[in-house]
Amino acid sequence: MKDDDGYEIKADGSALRSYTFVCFAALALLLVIQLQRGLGYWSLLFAGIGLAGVTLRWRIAPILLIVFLTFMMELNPSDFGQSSRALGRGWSFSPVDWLTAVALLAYVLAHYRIQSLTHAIFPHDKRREQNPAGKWPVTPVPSASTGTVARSPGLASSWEISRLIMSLPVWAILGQLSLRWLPQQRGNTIAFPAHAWSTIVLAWALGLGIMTAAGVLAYLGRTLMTQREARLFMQDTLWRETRREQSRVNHWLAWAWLRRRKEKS
Amino acid sequence: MLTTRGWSFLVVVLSVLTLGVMNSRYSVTVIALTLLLWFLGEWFLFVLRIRLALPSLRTRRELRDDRGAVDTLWAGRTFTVMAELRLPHWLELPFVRIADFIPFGVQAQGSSSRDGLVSLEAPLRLVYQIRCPAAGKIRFEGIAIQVADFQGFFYHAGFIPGSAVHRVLPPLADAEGQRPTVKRHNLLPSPGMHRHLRAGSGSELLDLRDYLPGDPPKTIAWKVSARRDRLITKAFESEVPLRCTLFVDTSHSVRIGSWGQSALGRQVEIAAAVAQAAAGARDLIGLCLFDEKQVSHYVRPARGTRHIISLFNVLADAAGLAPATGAARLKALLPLGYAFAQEVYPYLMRQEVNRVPAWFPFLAQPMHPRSSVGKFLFRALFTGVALLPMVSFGFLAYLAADLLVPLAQIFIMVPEGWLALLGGALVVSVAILYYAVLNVAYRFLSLVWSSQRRRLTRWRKPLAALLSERYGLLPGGVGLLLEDDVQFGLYLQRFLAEHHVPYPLPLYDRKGRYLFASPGKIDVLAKALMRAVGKGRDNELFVLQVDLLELVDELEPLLRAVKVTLSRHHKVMVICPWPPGVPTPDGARSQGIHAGIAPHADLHSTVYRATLSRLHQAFARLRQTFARLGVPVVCAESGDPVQLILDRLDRLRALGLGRRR
Repeated sequence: MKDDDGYEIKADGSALRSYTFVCFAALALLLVIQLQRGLGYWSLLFAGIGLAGVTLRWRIAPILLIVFLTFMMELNPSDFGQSSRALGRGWSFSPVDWLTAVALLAYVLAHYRIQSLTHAIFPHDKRREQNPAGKWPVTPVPSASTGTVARSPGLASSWEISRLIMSLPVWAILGQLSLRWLPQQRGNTIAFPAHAWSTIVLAWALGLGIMTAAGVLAYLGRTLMTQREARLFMQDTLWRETRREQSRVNHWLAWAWLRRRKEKS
Repeated sequence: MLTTRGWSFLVVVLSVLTLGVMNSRYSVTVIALTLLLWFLGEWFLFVLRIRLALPSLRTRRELRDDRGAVDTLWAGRTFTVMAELRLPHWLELPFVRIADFIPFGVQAQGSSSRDGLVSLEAPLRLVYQIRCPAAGKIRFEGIAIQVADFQGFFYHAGFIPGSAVHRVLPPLADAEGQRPTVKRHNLLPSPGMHRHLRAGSGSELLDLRDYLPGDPPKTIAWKVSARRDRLITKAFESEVPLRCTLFVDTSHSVRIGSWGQSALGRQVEIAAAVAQAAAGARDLIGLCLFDEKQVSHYVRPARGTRHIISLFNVLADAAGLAPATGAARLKALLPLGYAFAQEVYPYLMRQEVNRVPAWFPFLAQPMHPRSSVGKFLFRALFTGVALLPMVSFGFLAYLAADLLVPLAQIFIMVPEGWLALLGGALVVSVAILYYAVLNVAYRFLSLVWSSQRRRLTRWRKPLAALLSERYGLLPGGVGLLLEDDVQFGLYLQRFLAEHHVPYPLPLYDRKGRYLFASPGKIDVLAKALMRAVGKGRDNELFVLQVDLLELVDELEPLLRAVKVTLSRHHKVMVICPWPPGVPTPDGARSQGIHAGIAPHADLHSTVYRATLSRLHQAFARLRQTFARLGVPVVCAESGDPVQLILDRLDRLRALGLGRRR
């Protein structure tokens, strides 16, 4: 099916069904893994929360599922076989963890995409709210969205869903590899405990990574500034440098102007 | 950038990761890291799209009527707007929602927003209809855009500028406006009126004369020729077109009101209708636009379609003018200007290029306070109370001098007299310092304690920077606009007027004086009238569409000019604009509304009645003043001024006054 501009779109409701199916599949996979790990009733409860989250459109369901899964793993770590090993004792690829990560990511993303299709994709803009007191005027310009705007289900293409499913294993592998690339004990000259050292290294790695990315993006933003933006930036810098001088000069000028006007009137 | 949904997800994932790492749980850490890496990857991609793809977005807008693309619109007709958003970049925007900026006052039909994907091959199009209620100008600013990822974790709201200004011409007159050129008045010439008849090719018989070789045979009066026994030819009256010049007041006094509802809008309607009717009768029509400072446009009387269109363009430009005053209230304008700038210029209002320091709302120079007795007393009280601790401290120091002097002599080996002097100097220095701190505290106290003032101050800085950049006030413009309230108010009004944003203005100053009387326009109009008389032919009609209600006592220069005009055998009539929403004298009479102050009326009703009474009295005086000269004064809102002007033209035609000498 194609729209007016010739783009392929899915019929309304089709995308919703696809994402719901992804959620159910991910949930089933998670249930099997948890059952194999011998969590029994806990697994059923976990699956029940996930199921209710999808069918009842609970917006908190993905968060709840992540928290619950963590809770189960913390509750009974010895039952997880190979993956119950501690950090800092070498790295080996764990298929069970890989599958768990894939399934959890699939559930979370599909659920959030369902929320975008059924509830809202943009945050609520407080400026659009009617102000009963009339203290401040509502913004005078019509906006792209004046309330909660959901994404049109017809816009979700099959390529989008396929791309999501194909990208999941890659992210799960990257998650495992990133742990391998982190130095386990190297450089720990002060002999921090293993978990503390891992925390420090991870925090530094994440912080440096985010700072570098933010720096690159900020630099990119400056190089792509328009002429007006650059002029405003220069003006702003000048104002910050000479704020007090400008203020003093203009204060007196304004005073003189007011006095002149008073004399005239 | 990050939505609540995104923040909650990030916080939970980071918590899980911390828990996993701290407890050395391999599985938990791996799962949390997978989620976090995916999140960071999405973030990087989203920001990359915003940084690279968003600035490349281009808009294209086309206005169409039934026959194709148009550049100029007509009031009262429906046009189709086609807006397109193109992305000439390899990075695509997977989900955007766009909304076209519909100009203020324009009625839109159909949806002006749409969502979807924008990529190199796939532009996003919008199609909707608009209808302009009145003549003037409309301004399309661009397209508002919202970008989000599929999960709703990241969000960016922006604006793709693509401003375009289109003229909205006054509505075309219907059949009633196109008056036929038949004689509708059976009037005799006034006593003392000289007819300037001249032979021509009209339809009315002027005279009979002897036949001259070359006269067309059809003009021969055969019966008379037979009676006189020689060839007699009929001479017909010449049909010389009439000339009419419209003087339209465009001063600030007539600009008050929303688009299409202002007195100026009504003036433009009348002028356009008269111009069309005159064109239908092949009369010559001229136009003079003036304000309180100068004659902004003068178009000599002429005829033809091109001339009428040029008049319409001038009138449409005039109809879009907005009022301004130096006494505008910043409290009302600032939120409006800031909200508008945030919407339309978000790229110039962001912190990266237009920063507001965190301390600024607390320590900025407060706006110029107005002095009053209350404020003086408050300041005196504040200073008195605040100085009390200092006085107490000085008094205590004096009392404790006997104890302090021996103690001080341990550290400072100076004579006792010098020590007392040093102690006194110390106390005075501390007192001065304390007083300075007190002054500063008093100055900024209003900002510290008033969230409203802080908010206004915070909004003023980026807006001042934007205005300074826009109007070329660099490099000290920001400082100027932060200090000078009047300048800031005027530039802000200009900014809002250029974008056609309606804004509130006070009509009266704090002393109760009307701010929009514009007395300067009397001289300007008198000079313009004299110039038109000097350049004009004989027997023209001059229509003065001018608001004189607030200037009844200052009409002398205009009356002199009108007298000169009448002495040159011209005709003058005055069309007085009437404030919108106020009953006209005729209307008030017919509706039984009595002007004047009624007993036991509430304040609003009393003010309304007093204003009504004042306006009605002013109009009566105006009518009386001009009636002495034989000049009719018509209220623009009552009756049909267009009809009256056309009748006056017809009367001139019937009396044979519209002839070249």
